[in-house]
Amino acid sequence: MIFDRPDSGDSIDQGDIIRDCTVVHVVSLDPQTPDVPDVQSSLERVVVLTQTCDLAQRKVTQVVVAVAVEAEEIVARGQLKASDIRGPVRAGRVFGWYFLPADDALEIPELIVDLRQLHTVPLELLENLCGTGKRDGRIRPLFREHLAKHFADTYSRIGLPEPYATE
Amino acid sequence: MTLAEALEQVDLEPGRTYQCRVRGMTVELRVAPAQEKTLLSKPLCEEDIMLDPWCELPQPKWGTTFKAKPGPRLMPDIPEIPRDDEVAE
Repeated sequence: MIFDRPDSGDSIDQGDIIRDCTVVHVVSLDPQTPDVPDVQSSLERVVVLTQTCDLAQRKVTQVVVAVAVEAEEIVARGQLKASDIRGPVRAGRVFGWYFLPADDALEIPELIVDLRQLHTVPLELLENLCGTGKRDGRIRPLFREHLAKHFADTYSRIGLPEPYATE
Repeated sequence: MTLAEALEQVDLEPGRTYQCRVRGMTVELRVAPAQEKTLLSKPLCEEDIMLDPWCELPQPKWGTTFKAKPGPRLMPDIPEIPRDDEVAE
């Protein structure tokens, strides 16, 4: 098992998986009136990405989270096959996506953490959600750092125009 | 003669204020203090540094508040899934 179950009053930490987090996104924008965007909100399951040390030292009031989607939902939509998830995604060979296994005891399904969908939400919002039992669990150290490394690699990697030629 | 042309002939010092009477009127002339062109020209005083290694910038003070409408859940963009032993880009 790679998850812990923190108490509802425990502080927010990197790797926390929290349900029903409100995220806001701009749906459309008229260039003629850029100060009046069409804004929508949705309730998402998110994974906390802000570093543990910054959270522990109360350095931040805003927390970076990534949206997590049930792997089954992506397969059910026909966007990917189960073998894609179980193969390259699970093995960490797809930058921007991080696979989390299911945990029956915590009722966490298999999740895809979408590291390309990042949001900044108030720390207080996450604390309130945890206080009302919306924290599914917390990714344990080692696995949490593995996620953090994948997150960093997604944005720090250098892509070549095409692979080197071989004979 | 313009005022600027007249003042060209006076030996002015930055930061000083001059007063004189001209045709019965009191005229006050304040010369702005000399300004450094760049921050780099000032000597670095370690004690003056207030910035922690971590610094949260203040939130913008202006802006418009919108009430967001409930929308559909956010689904990911599907990346290219690598075959064989490739790593996706």
